[in-house]
Amino acid sequence: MTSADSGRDRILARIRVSMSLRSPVPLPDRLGEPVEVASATNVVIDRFVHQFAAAGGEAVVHPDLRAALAWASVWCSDFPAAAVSASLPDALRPRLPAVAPADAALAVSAAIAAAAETGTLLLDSRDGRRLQLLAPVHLVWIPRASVYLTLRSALRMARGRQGAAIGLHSGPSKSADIGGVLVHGVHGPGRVIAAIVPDEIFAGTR
Amino acid sequence: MSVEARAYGSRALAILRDTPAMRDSVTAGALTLDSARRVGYASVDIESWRRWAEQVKNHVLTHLDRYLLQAEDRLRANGASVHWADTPADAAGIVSDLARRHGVRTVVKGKSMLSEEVGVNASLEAMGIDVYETDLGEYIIQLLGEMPSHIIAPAIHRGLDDVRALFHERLDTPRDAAPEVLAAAARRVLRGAFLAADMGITGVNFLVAETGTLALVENEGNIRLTTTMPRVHVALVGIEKLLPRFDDLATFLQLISRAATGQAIGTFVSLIQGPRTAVDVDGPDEVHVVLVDGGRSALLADPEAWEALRCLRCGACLNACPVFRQTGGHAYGWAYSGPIGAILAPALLGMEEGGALPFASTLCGACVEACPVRIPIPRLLHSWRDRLADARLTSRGERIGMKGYARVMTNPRLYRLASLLLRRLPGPVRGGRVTPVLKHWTAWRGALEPSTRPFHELWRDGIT
Repeated sequence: MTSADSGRDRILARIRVSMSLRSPVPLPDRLGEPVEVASATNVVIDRFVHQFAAAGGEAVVHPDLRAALAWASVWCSDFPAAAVSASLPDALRPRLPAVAPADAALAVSAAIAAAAETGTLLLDSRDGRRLQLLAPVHLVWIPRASVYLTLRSALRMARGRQGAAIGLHSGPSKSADIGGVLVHGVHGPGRVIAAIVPDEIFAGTR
Repeated sequence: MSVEARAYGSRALAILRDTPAMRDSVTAGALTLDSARRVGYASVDIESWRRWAEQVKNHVLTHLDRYLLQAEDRLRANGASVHWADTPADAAGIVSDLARRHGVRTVVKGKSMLSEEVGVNASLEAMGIDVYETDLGEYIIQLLGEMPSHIIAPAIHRGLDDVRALFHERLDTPRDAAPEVLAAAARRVLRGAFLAADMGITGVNFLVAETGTLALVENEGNIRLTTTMPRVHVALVGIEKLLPRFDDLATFLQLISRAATGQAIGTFVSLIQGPRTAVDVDGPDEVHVVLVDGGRSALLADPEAWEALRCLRCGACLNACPVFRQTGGHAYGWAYSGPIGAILAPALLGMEEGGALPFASTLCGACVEACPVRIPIPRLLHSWRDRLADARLTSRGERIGMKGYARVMTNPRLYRLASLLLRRLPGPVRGGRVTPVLKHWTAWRGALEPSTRPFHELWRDGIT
């Protein structure tokens, strides 16, 4: 037996002695409504936009691909280059030179889901965690059907589909550690833009 | 870990006397957070959430061996390594061994109170390793050589002018730099550390037994970077941090965020399954999870204080506490301060070292209203006070005083005699100007002037 094993065994033995003094408490059911089947009603989208903005993020809803591309071409023209996630559909890739995340002023990726109740984007580590974090501005595209009312539904949808990690991003990086004054962009992006687009743009991607 | 909990009284007095600006900063910061917490609670069915969370955590604690073993299995299946640390020193030793084995020269850290409890920084720095605290508040106090003074806002005791002076001296920022400029200066230094670091060390907020998921909540993005950039990630996990089901996360992530800052959810949540896989673009090659006991398994046996193990480390009880708001966390002399620190200290440090802290409370009950998992903190403070008195670990003067007070208050003749004497005392004594304890009161306030006649006489004569 190694010393590591003996440490483990000592801890577990003490826990079992302590637990013998406690009456077992049953596990309560999950809290809240059953997991949603349908999503992306206008009410859900509006809630997401509201909550994301309340957290300091910016959200835009595009009715179709044409409107989305027209908006993106103007919006992205402010940047000299961008870091872009590999999984992004070709149509949504900005017409900008590609750079590494550490050198990028703009990062562009897609969310695997979003939660309206908290204004949260769920980001897959397969798209690159550095890309999601290092650039000062992050544009995130979201297929409309992937916006769920509750965080629980969004997490359940994402579970098992991701790489080594899921990042939940709800607005820009922020801190009030300097004299209680709120500052954006401390370590992660100081601007996060969530762009909701029709689902067909993502057809054929994961 | 440096522990000076037994010196609470003298440390609190020194803070109040010598650094009044510190009290102003702590009070303002804590009241802001407490107010945000109230708003955050008001927009959900918070009582249902709190009762549910209490029951989930109680379930975990009464089935802890099973969930720890399940979590260990899942973590290993996900490719993470699992270590068990009986004591804080064991945990520090495990981290040091990992650093040595990987030839680590630079460590970046996410804010972790458990790492303070374990004393990770000191042991790594003794090996010649550069350790960077990357949470902005932690970075500020690291530069100052101080301990955190709040669980989630470690630099809450420092105002804007303090940070301006510090960064001017250390980072060459202008003396009147705006907070945005100060934050950008810290970002530049710490971005360099992230890019150079070999190891990232964090705590965790939750470990899901069902899936082996590590969940970490933050607002700056430094924890996401700490768990992304270095090739080795070490997560220090108190054995009480478990949740049974992945589905439980959705509520607990929102509950801890609303309790801590009033946010619907922390800006960044990292849900980590293990080291980078073949389909990942980046992330650490190795993830090590250190399960730390540090007195928790023994605390689980305590008939009352075991309920403190539900704690989520949100800091809500600190913000609600009128005593904490006077001094901040430094007076408490160890990692955990405020009401939760006061009930954990005698359990984790021992009654002799931690025995002063259960008395750092007015027992007003504001903490129990704020607690997201309904820990009955005032009851536990009472319990520790009783035990400390039984063990004769309170001060001799206090024991004699309380014994005398009880005697007087339970004997009508003695009570009337004491009342008479008090009214007949010479002015300076009665008014407190030369009386122990009372003179501190009257140094700032008017003298106490007892009624010329006792209440029972006034009542008898119908004059009330």
